[in-house]
Amino acid sequence: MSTKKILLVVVAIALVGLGIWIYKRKSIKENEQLPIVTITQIATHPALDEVRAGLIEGLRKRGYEDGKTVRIVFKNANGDPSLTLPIAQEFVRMNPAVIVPISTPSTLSVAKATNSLPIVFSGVTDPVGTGLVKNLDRPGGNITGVSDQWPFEAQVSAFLKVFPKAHRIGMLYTRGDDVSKIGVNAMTDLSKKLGFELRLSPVSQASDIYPAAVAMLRDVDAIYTGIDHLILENLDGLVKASREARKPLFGGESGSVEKGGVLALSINMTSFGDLTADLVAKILRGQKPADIPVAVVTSGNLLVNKAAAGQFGLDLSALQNMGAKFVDQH
Amino acid sequence: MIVSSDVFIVTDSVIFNSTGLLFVVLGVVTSIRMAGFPDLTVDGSFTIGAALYSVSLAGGWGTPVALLMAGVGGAVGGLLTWTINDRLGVGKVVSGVLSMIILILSAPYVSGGSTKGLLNVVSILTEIDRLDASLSQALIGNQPYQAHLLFSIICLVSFALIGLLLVIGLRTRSGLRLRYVGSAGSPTLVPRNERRGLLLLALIAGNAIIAIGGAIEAQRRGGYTNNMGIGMLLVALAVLILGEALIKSFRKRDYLRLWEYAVAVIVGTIVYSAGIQLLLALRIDFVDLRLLTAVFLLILLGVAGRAYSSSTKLF
Repeated sequence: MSTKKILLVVVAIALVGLGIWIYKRKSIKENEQLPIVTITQIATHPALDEVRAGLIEGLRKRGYEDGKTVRIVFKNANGDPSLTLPIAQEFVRMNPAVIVPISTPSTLSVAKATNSLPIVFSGVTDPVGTGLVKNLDRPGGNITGVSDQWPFEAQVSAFLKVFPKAHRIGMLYTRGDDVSKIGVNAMTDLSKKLGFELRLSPVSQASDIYPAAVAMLRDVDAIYTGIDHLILENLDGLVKASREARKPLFGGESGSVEKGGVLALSINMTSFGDLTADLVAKILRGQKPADIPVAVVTSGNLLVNKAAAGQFGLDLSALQNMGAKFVDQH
Repeated sequence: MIVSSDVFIVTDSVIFNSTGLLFVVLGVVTSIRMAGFPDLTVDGSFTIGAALYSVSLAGGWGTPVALLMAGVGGAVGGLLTWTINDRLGVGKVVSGVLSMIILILSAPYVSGGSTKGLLNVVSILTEIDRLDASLSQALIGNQPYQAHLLFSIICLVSFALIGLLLVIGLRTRSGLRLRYVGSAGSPTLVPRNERRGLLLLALIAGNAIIAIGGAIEAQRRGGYTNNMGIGMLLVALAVLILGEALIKSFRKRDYLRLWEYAVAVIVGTIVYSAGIQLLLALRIDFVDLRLLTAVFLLILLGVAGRAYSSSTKLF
């Protein structure tokens, strides 16, 4: 077979595919009476996946079940930032009732693709700074959502209650990262307010985490995971270093306790998704995004790693009285 | 409604989504194909271009200056790669990687954070966006989405201009010598000093064009985000190899003329973005899309590329 023939075949296949697709789109449009909710996220990541699961479950609880009262369409950019815009365009073409982008890059692309369809973002740390909303109380445009600012104070207070002797707390952060900067600023303010000494050390890639943590643990009493994405995604180095130094590691994600951190006051990502579902439901009932304030999570639940707690000689019954849940992994 | 809105809007998306990538692939052709330098700076110059463009535009400097800043940022990236390679005597691949890391890590300092939104920044391009919106309303009626005809045309015309300049430059005596240096195994006919100068020129031009591609992407995606350049080199190379394989098998020879490279860039980019639109609409998730792109490339190269093998090349 000559190459020209092969090219011809390839082109023919593409044309047939295009034809089927246009036909399918038509038939979908004609049969579809249910309102569409489209969800997209930048990558497959445990936290983002939990938010999505919480969102879908939250919608079901509020009477919006996929296939019955609403149609849910989900697309994942799988870590390729150049795919966020094509996904946003495809969503806008579906003419959905609500678009839910999870993470900042996805939200920016969706916001760029439409300025009329309602958007409920989830997991954007600084919605005002990025220009998505005018202010948190009255977003003003077609966009509202849930911001993922952390309850730093509640987390550190919970730790200090359990480890009253801890005075010097260390934290790693990524240089030049917005989310990380918010964490550093919040912790700096908090160190003055709660009267502990904060030690900071920058990292720029996953392989820096372990050596930086080892160096830091020589002169701190405890290490805090912080909010930084890079560190949360590569917790193992931090856990290993803290175990070797026999100093407690605490954080704000349930994952850090499961990996060996002693305790965490974690925002439940599922309830985060539930909060997002609440806003989506409001819009499905006819409210305008412009009037719905951006939501922020304020509370969490205390998780304690049993093995690590034993190692530091903590009183398990006292922890139970504080409302802690125990994790058995080590 | 004048045109069938489905076909129209999909075609529009394919072209609109190609605009940034076209420049990136053109830059990759310049440094990797013409100068024969395995330039891995791409991800870095793309990111720094996007960051510089966003921060300049948000600072109120206007689109032309912002684009110029992006281009300068990319040129500095190319200069950096060349300096590490030539002056510090580091291998070609490693100097590209080092330069890429430096650029990606310095982009957040340039932009003052890991994101820089451009949604509310008014510029000449937002005016064009508004014109596009009324134009698409006239063509396809009142829809929640809009076409990007004028934006795409402006990008395509600039691409054509830059491409033409490159072709003219590469057809001069120095350009010919550069192509000889890039394609010959041991280019002994050109003195070493001249080779170094030519290489510097190619790296600067290539990375500046890539950075402009990054700027266009930042504009299209609503701003700069610090991870936006990651994996750009792989996409650009895949697109380039796809375009080359298609044109080579169409022309039935194992080399391409200069203008055929330009066609290969356009064909590869359009086929790639059309593929994405197709797979998106067929409800295939993106793990599969990336896998499918690889399989598709493999089949095409196996069929079309085998006769015109490039197995001795690095890329």
